[in-house]
Amino acid sequence: MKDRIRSLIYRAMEHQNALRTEPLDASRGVETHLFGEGGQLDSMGLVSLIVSVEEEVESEFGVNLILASDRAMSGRRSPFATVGALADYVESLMGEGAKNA
Amino acid sequence: MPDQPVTLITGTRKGIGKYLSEYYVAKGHAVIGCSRDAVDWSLEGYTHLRADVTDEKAVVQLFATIRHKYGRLHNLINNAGIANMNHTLLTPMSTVRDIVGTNVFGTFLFCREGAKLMSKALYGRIVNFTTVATPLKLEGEAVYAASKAAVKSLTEVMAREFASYHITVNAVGPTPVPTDLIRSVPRSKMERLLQRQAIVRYGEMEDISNVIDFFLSPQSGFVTGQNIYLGGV
Repeated sequence: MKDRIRSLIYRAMEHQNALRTEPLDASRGVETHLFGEGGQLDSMGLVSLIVSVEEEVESEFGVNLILASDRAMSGRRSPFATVGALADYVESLMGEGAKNA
Repeated sequence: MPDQPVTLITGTRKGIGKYLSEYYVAKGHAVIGCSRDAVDWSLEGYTHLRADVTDEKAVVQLFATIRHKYGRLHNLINNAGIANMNHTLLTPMSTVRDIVGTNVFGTFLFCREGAKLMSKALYGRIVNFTTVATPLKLEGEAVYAASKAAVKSLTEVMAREFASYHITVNAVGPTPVPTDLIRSVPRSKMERLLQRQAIVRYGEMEDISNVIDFFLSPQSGFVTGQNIYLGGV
C-alpha cells in the first residue's frame, strides 16, 4: 500500500515537471523535501502537486480524497514537508475514509 | 482550445439553468448539468448528473466523473441558487442555512473542484451568479443579498488565486427574470424594484447568456474578477 502511494506521488511530481522550468529533484526518495524549509515547491507549486496527487489517488485506488484540511495546513509537522510525510498522510486519510465508509 | 467546449452548469432542472443548457448545447458545447433531482427533460449533447451542490463528497465525485468521461472542463457556470423573500425577523435559521449553503458553499465547492480540473490544462472560465438585490439593498432579501455579496467577494479573490492557471472568474448579476425564483413575490414589489433599474423592464434569459458568452469567450482571457449587473443597476 505505502509503495503504491509513494509511486503515485512520484508520478504526480513528474506531471508537475511538465509545467516547471526547473524539474523537481526526487533523488532523495522519501526524504525528498517538498514544501517548507528546504522545500522545492512554492505555495502555487504545492497547490498544483496536491491537485495532482488527489487525481492519482483517485485513479489508483478509486478513492476521492481532499488533501487540504485544517489539520494539514496548521499542524506543527506539515504533511507536505517530504515525500515520506505526504505518503504517510495520504495513507492515514485513506484509513480514515475506510473507517467512515 | 479543442473544437468542442465542455461546459458544466449547476441548477439545470428548470429556469435559467435549463435555458443555459439548451443555449450552450445549441452552440455546440458538451453540456453537463447538475441538480439535486433528476430532470424531466432530455437533450442530445446534454448529460445530467445528480448532486446536492452543498455536499462536498458528492461534488468531488461529480468532478471525478467529469474527469473520467471528458478529461477536462473548459467552462463552469455556477447558476444554482435559492432565494427566499422574508423579513429578517421572520426568517428561520434553517432558511439561512439553506440559502448560504447553496449560494455560497455550493459556489465555493464547484469553483474549487472546477479550478482543480481546469488548472491542469491551464485554461478555464468560471462564471458565478450574483444579484441586483445586493446593490439595491432589497428589504426582505437580507440573507439572499448577503449570500450573493459573498459570491461577489469569492469571485474577486478567486480571480486572483486562479489567474496563474489562466482561469478567469467573473460574475453576472441579473435583474429579476420571470422564473420560479420570483414567483411568490408580490407584483407591486416587483414593479417598485424594476423602477430602480436604469432600464425599467424584466430581464430576459438572453440578457444573461449574452454576458456569459462574453465571459466564456476564449478572447476574454484578460477579463477576470469582474461582476456585471444587468439593467443598469
